[in-house]
Amino acid sequence: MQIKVVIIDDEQHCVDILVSMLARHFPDVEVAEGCNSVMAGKKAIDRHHPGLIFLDVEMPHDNGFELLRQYDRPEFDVVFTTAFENYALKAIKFSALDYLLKPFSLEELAVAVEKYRQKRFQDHASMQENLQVFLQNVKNFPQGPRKIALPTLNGLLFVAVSDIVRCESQANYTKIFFQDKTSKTVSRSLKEFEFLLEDLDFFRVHHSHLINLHHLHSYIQGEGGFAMMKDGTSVEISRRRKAEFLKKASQL
Amino acid sequence: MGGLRSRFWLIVFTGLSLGAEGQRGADQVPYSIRRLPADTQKVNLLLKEASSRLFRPSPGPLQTTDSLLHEAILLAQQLNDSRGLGMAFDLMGVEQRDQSEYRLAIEYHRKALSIANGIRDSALIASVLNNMGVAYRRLDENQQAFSCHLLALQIAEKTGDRREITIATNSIGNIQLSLGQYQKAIEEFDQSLAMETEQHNSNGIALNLANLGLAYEGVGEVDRAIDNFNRSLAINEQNRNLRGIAICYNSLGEAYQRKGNDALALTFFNKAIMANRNASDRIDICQNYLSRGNLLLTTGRFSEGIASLDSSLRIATRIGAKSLALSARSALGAAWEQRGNYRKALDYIEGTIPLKDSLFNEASALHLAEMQALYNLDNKDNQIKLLREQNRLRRMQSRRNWFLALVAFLVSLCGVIVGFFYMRHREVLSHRRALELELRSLRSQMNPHFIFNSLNSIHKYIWSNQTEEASEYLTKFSRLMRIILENTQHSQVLLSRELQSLYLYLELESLRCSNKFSYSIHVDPSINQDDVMIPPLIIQPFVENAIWHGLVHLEGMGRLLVDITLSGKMFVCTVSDNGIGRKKAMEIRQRKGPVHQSMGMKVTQERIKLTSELTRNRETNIEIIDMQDPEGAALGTQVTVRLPAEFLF
Repeated sequence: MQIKVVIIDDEQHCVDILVSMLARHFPDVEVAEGCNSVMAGKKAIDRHHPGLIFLDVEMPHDNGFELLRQYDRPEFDVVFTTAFENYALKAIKFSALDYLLKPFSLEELAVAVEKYRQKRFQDHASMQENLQVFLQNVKNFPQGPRKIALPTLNGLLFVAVSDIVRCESQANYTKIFFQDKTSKTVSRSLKEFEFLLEDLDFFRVHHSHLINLHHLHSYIQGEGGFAMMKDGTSVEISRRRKAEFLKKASQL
Repeated sequence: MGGLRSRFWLIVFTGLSLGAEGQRGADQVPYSIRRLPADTQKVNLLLKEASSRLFRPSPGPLQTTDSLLHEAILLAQQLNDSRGLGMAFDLMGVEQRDQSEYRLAIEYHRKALSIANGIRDSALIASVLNNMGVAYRRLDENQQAFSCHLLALQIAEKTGDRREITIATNSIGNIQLSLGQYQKAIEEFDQSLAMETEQHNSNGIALNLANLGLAYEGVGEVDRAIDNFNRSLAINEQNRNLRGIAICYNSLGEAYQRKGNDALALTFFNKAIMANRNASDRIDICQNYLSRGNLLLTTGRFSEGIASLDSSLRIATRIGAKSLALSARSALGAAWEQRGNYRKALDYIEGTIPLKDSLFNEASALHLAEMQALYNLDNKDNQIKLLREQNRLRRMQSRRNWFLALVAFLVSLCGVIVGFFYMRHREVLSHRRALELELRSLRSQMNPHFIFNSLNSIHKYIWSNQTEEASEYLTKFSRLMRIILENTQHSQVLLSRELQSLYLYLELESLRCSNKFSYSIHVDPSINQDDVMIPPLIIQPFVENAIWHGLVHLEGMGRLLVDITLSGKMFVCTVSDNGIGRKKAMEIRQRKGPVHQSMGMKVTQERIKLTSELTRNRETNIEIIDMQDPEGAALGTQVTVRLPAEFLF
């Protein structure tokens, strides 16, 4: 099944590189159009109804997110392309959307395309929700995203950050504990969650523990001590993290 | 020794306020003393001689004593011998008293007292006070006398001077006797007598027996009084103490008169007068005349009685003995009144008024004085206590001051130490900061080196038309650059991040060298790569060095091994290659000229040095081993880097 794509990037050479990479190595991908602005991009999408768009985040007039805002119920999936690892990228990761850091290798492109191939058989609703959560997160960004997309075995799970009590490392997976005492194991490393949540008053108290400081009940003295969470669980704190933990916790 | 002996003499002398005795050759020529050198011993000898003359039962020519004392005074003044001077003045006082010059005597004693006080000689003070008391008593100024003796007693008791205690006790008894407080007087005399007996001082014993007799007579025990007088008389006769004998005669006379034996009484009075006729101190004879006059008057021998009383009054007036004068005047007044010569009677009676007043004042004042003396003593005790307390307080205060000084010293010492450490701490901090800045600048210095090497590689691919390879290389290079840019923001990065960059780097170099070498990175499985932290880009330069100076020149397949372990808290990384070895590499480099320089290595060595300084870790080092086969051919190079590791958790 052919994959119809639209490429939107303000720099023509970036469009050209992607076109030639796709043409040379992905026979099932058809580039319907390459555009240099959000406006041209919207027109191309409406004209071609692509299954996937490659969307540059940073563009001079409107950024890539503006294009997405114009669609309530998008029928396409997005792979962001960006040259910068900034807040936008963090928001993208937060929503478990795909992205390519320019310059990207053929291998990286192949991974992105393969991901889409897997996803496109899933229902559109999940994809739409995913985009909406992303847009919401981007809008809220100064205060931080409200929801985070958790990639589970069955797809994405969108949860409010404030519902997460803590995260526990389980090898390359992470077990997330929620306020309602349920939990979920997610195929993302705790380090990634730390990266995503550290700005939202989460704190890595231990090699295998990341806690939401808003759910901290009390602290019990010890070598490192223990953090008593509001759900009644206790989390060990590393000796080396104690000082910073107490500082962060008291600042709240 | 001389001083001690003269003291002894002085004591003996003062003990005998009513009598004296020559205990040694009284007629020794003073010449033996005069020829002595002028020193304190001479002063003492002069004083000894003078006192011995003063104590003779029948005193010799007074001029001799006088000149002896004057010489002693002059000499003592020359020698600044205060003690000698004090004693000399004391003796001068006694000499004056023996001539009934009581006022003058008191003046001399006063002088002696002020000197004795000046040198704080307690023994001398007590002796002077006792002598002064005796002089006052002769003047019937009992208040002053009492004060003197009480004070002398007090001082003597403190110094344990038995002699002066005895004298003072006797004197106080005498004062009480003259005030009619017989019972008290008896107590004092008994005490004094016991002490004299203890000291085997026969003169003292005789004196106290006589005194006791008077007191017994006062309480009406006339027979007991007579018994005492007789005992005293016996001792005095044995001692040839004329004055003592005379006193006993007079006392016996009065006692017998009281018993109605007027004839015997008269005999004793006459005997007393006979004994006293040559005495220089006229008070005793004055008493004798008075007693005899009264007796004669009562027995109707009027003119004889009047004559006797007149003699008494004349002497009493001259020597200032008030009570004797009063008694004489009263008796004369009564006698003339009886005779009807009222004018004469009035004259005498009028003359008694000032005497009475004076004596009454003495008597009433004495009680006050007694109180005063006691109060003074109490006061003095209190003052002593107060002084002691003050002393104690001062000692405590000075101890406290010491303590405070010590505390202040320790505090300031602590301050200095703290200040020193604070300064050092600041110095260390600023040093540390300088080192950190230097390290940071070294971290950023790393980048250009890398960039140019990689850009050269890409350049090569482009020129050889290897588009895909160029792209692959470029994207990897781009990823590596991202990581390096990120990592070099921090002084420490996670080992996992660092290894990520190392893998990328090795991939790139392997591509560049067309897979001329194989590589492997072995991390001890016990190491948690997301916990251990090391400075960024610390391994890469050694790897780079191994590739570009060891492996690229090698014929055949190169092998690069990076081995990472933890030794305690030390991060140990060994980079080994099977390259050409440093020696050969050096030769090649020299051939190429000095242009090519291992910038990364130099900078890294500098960084490791700085890290070692910053962490004060002596184990931090770089060890390079040139591996050789048994024949000495190079087998490669092994570089071991030891760094203090940090841990995130």
